[in-house]
Amino acid sequence: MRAARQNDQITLSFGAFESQVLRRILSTIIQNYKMKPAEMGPKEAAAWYSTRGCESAKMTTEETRDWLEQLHGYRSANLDRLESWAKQLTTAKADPFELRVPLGEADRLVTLLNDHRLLAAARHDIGQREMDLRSLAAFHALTPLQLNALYEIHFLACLIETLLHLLPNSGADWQES
Amino acid sequence: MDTETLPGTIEITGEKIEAAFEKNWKVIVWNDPINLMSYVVFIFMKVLAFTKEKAARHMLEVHHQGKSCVATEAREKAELYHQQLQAHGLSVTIEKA
Repeated sequence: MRAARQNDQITLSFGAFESQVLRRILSTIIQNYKMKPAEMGPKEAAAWYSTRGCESAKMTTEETRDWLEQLHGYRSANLDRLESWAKQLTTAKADPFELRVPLGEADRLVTLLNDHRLLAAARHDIGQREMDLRSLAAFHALTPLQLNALYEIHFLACLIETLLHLLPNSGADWQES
Repeated sequence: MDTETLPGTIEITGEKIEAAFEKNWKVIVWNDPINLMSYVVFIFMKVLAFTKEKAARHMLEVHHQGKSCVATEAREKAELYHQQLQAHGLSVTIEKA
């Protein structure tokens, strides 16, 4: 993967395999953004639409329902952009595949990609232990679906870090003082 | 209208208004194993308008202590932060101080 910023645009270039992975990820996000919170599985809903905060705020059932609808509206408002980015990767004919993102929309892309990391982790029971795995022997203990999810989570982490470094005032160069 | 009840009504309404604007709702962000440290800093800067230094300080508090109180606001604003932070994938609760 390569990334470059020119004026008000970020261009991400991917090899064929990376492009295929990203297309699949974007397609999954689109499918899940279209689903209402109640239509999602319990693990996925807990990752995106946790009502823990509503409970601590002592919201009524009706208030919680309205709150969830608004939260879903927040996510589904990005569907058009997502579909246009997915289309860019589908219609690209040559290797490398390019994704061009206006600078003003890159922060949304970062959050959308992060949403997939959260969803994949919840769906395949990826927690702190799995995130900390570093040896091949330990990876062999995972199921193929968990391995795939972990690959996607780390691939998107690289992509997000890269995008944050290209965004002005993103805090990507924060340092522990 | 029963004029004798009017002063009491005004008093109750005044208390309600005061309570609504009282900054006594804490917005708490919780640690999770998936969100990147740099992403959390970015979201704190974007949603809460924190400086990079303040965002990093709170992110590290979340990372090391398990949670951080990122704002204490009136209920309505606390609810707004709650929703915006959760829309960006962070684990958030609000509670009365």
